[in-house]
Amino acid sequence: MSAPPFSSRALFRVIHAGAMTSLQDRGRPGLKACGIPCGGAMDLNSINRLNQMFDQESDLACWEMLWASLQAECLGDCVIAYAGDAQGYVNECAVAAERTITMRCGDRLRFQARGQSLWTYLGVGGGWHGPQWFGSQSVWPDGGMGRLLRDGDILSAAGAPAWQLPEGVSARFLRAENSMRNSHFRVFKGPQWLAFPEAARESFFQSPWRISEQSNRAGFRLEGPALSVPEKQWISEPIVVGSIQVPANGQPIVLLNDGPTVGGYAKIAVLHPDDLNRFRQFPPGCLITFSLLS
Amino acid sequence: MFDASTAILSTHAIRYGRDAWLVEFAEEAGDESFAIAAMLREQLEKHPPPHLSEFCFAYTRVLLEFASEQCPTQAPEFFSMEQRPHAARKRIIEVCYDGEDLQRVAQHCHLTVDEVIAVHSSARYRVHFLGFAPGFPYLSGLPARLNTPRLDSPRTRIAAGSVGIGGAQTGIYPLPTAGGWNIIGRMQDPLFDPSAPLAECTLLRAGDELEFRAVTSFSR
Repeated sequence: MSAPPFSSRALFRVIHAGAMTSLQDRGRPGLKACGIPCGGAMDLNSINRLNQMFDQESDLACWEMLWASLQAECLGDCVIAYAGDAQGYVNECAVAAERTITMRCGDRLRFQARGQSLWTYLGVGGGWHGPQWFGSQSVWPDGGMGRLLRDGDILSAAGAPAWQLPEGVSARFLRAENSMRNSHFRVFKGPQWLAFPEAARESFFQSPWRISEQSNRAGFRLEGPALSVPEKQWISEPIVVGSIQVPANGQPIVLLNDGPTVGGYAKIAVLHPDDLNRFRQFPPGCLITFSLLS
Repeated sequence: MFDASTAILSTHAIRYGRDAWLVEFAEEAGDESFAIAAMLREQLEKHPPPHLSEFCFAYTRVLLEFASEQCPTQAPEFFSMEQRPHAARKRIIEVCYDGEDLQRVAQHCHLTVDEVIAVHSSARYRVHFLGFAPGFPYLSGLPARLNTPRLDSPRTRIAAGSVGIGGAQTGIYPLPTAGGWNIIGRMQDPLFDPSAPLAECTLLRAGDELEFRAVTSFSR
């Protein structure tokens, strides 16, 4: 017998959306050959933990909030949880991250950023309702896939109205990694590593780099000593997420989720995949350093 | 799966991070790199290496990405196969040549505006690959007479469907973006439709042959 059809159920009315709030899941890998970047959550660890908490094997989308300042009024009973460094409040009482929270109609939910990390995620039992593009709910406005959350929007549940907590979930507490403040990142040599002058390669590792305010989901810009770049120009080549390219001004750019799939700037290094989530949580103004893996 | 006469194709592979190889299969972009790419694409589709999660072509290099921590220590090898005559899909795109930089291109190339249109719309182009942005075609075939340097200062917003010339390249912007190419015209149909199924979301595909046809207005 197939499950009865259900329509999405309104759960929250957004009073304040915040600067950059969008629905994100694990993204849409495998479409680079169409020019479509993977996209998806900037901190996959956080949405993976939220997914685990709701006992979902599937890839549920969460609201990704930059410097979380979301305020919303609950329209329908539900169970939520959040992950990230921001502080959540229900009716002005602080609620802990990475625990399930039961919301009742009329409750007020709000978040306040604490400035330690960029992205906070809000999940709901049964998942959030939202359109899919190529099998993913990840929003990418520049690619014509959805838009950022706005004041007045309604957040709806995708799951059945009868969605219930799996046994034991309210007591569950999944610990976050405690390594967030480690500002040191491991990289591999990039495809054009050998073409960079030796002085540039040395200062790339010796200098601390400041994460620029001119950073977004497509890439983080770094500020530091101007690296001299190879004179040779390269024909455009495919890019992996975490590549560190150096344009003519000598200031590296770390290419991330919504970045181009192909590009021509010389790439000095590539971030280790296991360091990516921590890197993408680092706020502008922070200083970071790199070390070379063999 | 390959007969005894097949030989290993000579390539140069670069390890690209923990989970990928970047394989260079030609030294420069051209007819030869186009043909080799078609051959490699066929091999990757029919016989993907174990744990390959995706591949992505550019003119002379193909990126092979593997599942997390499953990248082989040696780069996969390809075979040099006999080239079968392949029937490229032919695409004709109607272009209204009324772009704001048409005059600038004409002046730079010492041609009249009508000559620029005639040269641009009589050439045959090839879609080497899609990349940079969804559905954006990297083309070859721009007649050298139309080479025009990029704008000194890129425009902050270029409309989707704008046809431009940047240096020795010509192309079409699939989405509204910033860009530094000289805009010579516009096309009507979208190059990328995010609401379409994957197989139909891009108007063009790698391997397509393309012509531009000059129109004064669009038929619909």
